[in-house]
Amino acid sequence: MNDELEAAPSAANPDAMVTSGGMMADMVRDFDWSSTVLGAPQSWPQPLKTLVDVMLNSNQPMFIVWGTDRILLYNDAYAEILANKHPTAFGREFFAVWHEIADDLRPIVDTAYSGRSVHMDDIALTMQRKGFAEQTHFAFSYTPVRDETGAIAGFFCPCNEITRQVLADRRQNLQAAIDASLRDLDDLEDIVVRASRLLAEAIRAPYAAYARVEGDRRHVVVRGEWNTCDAASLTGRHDAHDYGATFLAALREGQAIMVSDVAQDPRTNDPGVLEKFRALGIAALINVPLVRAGKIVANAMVHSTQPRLWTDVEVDLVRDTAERVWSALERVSAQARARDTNQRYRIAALATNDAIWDWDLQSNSVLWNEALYAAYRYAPDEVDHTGDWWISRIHPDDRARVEHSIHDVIESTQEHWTEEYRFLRGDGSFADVLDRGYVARDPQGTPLRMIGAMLDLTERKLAKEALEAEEERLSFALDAGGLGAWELDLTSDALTTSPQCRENFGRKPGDAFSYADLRQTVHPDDRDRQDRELRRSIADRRDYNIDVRVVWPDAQIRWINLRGRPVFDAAGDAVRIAGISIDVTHRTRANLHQRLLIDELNHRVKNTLATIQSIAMQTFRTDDQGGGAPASQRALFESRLLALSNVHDVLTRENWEGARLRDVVLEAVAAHGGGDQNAFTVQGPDWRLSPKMALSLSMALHELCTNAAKYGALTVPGGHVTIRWTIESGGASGGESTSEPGAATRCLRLTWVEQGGPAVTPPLRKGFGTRLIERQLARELRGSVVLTYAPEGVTCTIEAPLAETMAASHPTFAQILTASGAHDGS
Amino acid sequence: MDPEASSRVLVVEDESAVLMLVEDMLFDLGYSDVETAMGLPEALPLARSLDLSFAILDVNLGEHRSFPIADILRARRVPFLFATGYGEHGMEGDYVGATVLKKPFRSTDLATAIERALAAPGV
Repeated sequence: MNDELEAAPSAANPDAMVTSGGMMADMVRDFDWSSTVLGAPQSWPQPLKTLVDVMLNSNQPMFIVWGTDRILLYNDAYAEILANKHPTAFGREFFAVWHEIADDLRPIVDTAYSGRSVHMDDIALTMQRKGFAEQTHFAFSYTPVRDETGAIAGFFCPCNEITRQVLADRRQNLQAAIDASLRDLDDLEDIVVRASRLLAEAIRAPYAAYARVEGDRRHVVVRGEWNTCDAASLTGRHDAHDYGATFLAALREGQAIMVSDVAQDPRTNDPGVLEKFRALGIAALINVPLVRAGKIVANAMVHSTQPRLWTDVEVDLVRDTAERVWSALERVSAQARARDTNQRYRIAALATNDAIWDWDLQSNSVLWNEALYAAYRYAPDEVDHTGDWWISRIHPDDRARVEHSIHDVIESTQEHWTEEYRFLRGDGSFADVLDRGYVARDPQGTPLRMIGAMLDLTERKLAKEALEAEEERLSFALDAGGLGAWELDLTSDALTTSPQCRENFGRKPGDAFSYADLRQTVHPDDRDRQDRELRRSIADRRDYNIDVRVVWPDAQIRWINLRGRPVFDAAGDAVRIAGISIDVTHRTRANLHQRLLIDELNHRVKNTLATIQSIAMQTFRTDDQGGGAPASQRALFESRLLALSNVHDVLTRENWEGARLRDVVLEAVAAHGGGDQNAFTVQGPDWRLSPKMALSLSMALHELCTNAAKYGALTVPGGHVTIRWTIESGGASGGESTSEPGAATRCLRLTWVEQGGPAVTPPLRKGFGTRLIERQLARELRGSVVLTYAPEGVTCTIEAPLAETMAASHPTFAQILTASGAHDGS
Repeated sequence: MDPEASSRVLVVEDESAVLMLVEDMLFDLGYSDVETAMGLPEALPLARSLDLSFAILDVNLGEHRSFPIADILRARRVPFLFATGYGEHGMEGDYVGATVLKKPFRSTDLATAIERALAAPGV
């Protein structure tokens, strides 16, 4: 039978009606219809059979009310709506089944029975379809059905569950409500509480909250909550671990958690954890983590004090709320940051010397910071806050260019503008400025404003010019002095040279010149010496200074003086050495030449003196006839000659640049006193004498010595000569002075005092010695010489100005020759 | 060399007046056997061949210096001293530190120099 029916289902076949349509089909078949007005299904009118067949085969909740008793027939789907009323409701009177709302239903049912259709939107029903109370929404329509006689026999009601639509509407409404509600809030807690309230009301839950999840994904901070129940407040910081490992794990995975009954759910019913939830008064919960940029940042939650079945739609509501709260909080933070930035900008604008401008391109108004007044010397009332005022302050020669370039940037899609120009100061002078601006545009690219900073380059330019002038002066000084500049990088042997330096090494100014070239150019005999000097300079951390011979490309040899100073890094390693070069060929050659000339001169003088000595000795030699001079006279001559020779030695040692007074005195007395130098006391400050003065003084001292040895103190043991001198300021007594007025005149005062000799008698005739001392010496020294023949001993006082001798401390070679010649002629 | 074996002295000096003076001084000091030369070519054979007590060499001999003579004498272990107008700093190379008599000089200076030369180590 079943096979047959299935093969050919027919609305007219009552068997078909009872063999399909799930549980209710069984009920239709098994029901004791005899107790009802309907009677056995086989006897039912065809319209009823058809409707029952349709109903039982539909998943949509449907019922039929039939007959004068209003008997209720329904399918499986509607059984769920009936919940506890099923199965007793089946076949019962409709008003008996819905007795609690019978009064509400009766007019509608009557309407249907009167032949008109009735439609009802959104009937909210709490259903127990899944073992828990469940908020559902339905739409009903009662359609009258006529029997075969054409009379209204009952009505057919397909029910449309609109829970999803209702919740979706509610979701939209909630979103709109939250958006509208949070828009004007800028307090973080207000936002959270307001949103939580809207969420709780939309879901019809007593508790909702929003929490921030910390970076460790374990701790959460409840920022605010909406609590209309006995649930404990959760505001504050929580360790998610306290709510169970599974709970924490789910949270970390970013999954929404729906718990309908904490006591039943394996995620929450661990004894310790469950206790925690119960203590908080939580029986059911939704917890939705919010993920941003791959990180869980927040957590929105709804709690119920009773077990409750949640829908996906409710989870969505919670998620929506979380997202909106997050956005609102971000907006508030961004605004706070913007306020901070704005504040910082204001502070920076106050602190800087740059004139900062903010040009509203829509209104052509410009705001300047204080620096415009301070740095550019404008009084606030002199500034017109427009772009035109700024343009008008640009130097006429720069204005068109600047105006053109800034408008080019504004009208393009570019953001940055930079220009250097002259800007008129309040005092009428022009400042060289560097101006940089940034164009802010709306998303469509329309320029809104331009913000920029005008930097005064005047000081910088002056400093740069001063630096360049300094470099120019240095360069000029180097060039004028024929000085080359060089720098050697000691780590890479890279050599940098100035054109003058390259010229010192025989190169053209434009030639390349490496360190290897320099080494090659230095005379082979000087290279080791140069290396040693470099090593020593670095090792001893002292200046490098060496004269080397350089072989120029044309084979000429030049002397180059190189001086430099090594530079060390923080670790104490020499990194480079920089210095100067100068061609000292002339100086070096002159020095060598002078040395050779002096040597040659001395050699000739000495040979000439030796020749004169020989001629004299031959001339005055005692001959066989007893002629000639006595030996003592020849010896005197010889000693005078030698005194002259000796002072030449002193001068030669000093390059004929003068002689030390002490040396001159000691040299003169060395040959006297019978080898007993204790016969002399020599005392006085050292002083440098001119060659001429040295020669004169030396000859005079020799004559005094000779006289003392022949007649005076040195003729007897115990006789003594004291030679003392002082250098005195002030004019020389007597004699002509050539010292210039105002020049510091120094005066040599030398005394010769003999003691312990035989009684002195003045000589009857003044010999060569006396004349030399008294007359020639005084003249040559331009001073005075006083010789006395006191009985107790000869004294001689010599006074001579020294100023001239100082000035003549570096005589020319010609002067030396003149000095010698003058002496020879005396 | 035994000073008794020869009392002959070689004097090399290009200035004839000075040469005469030195000869006289040596004579006064008791050296009567004096050979003289006034230039390097003339002096070299004498330095090589003569039996000499000692020699007095002028450093500057016109175009030449007297150091080649000194080289020969040193090789022959003949004492010598230099007489020069340059003074001690005119000495070169090996002869820095040799006995030097500065012109002009007295016979006493010559006598002292001869003593020093004869006593010099290596001779």
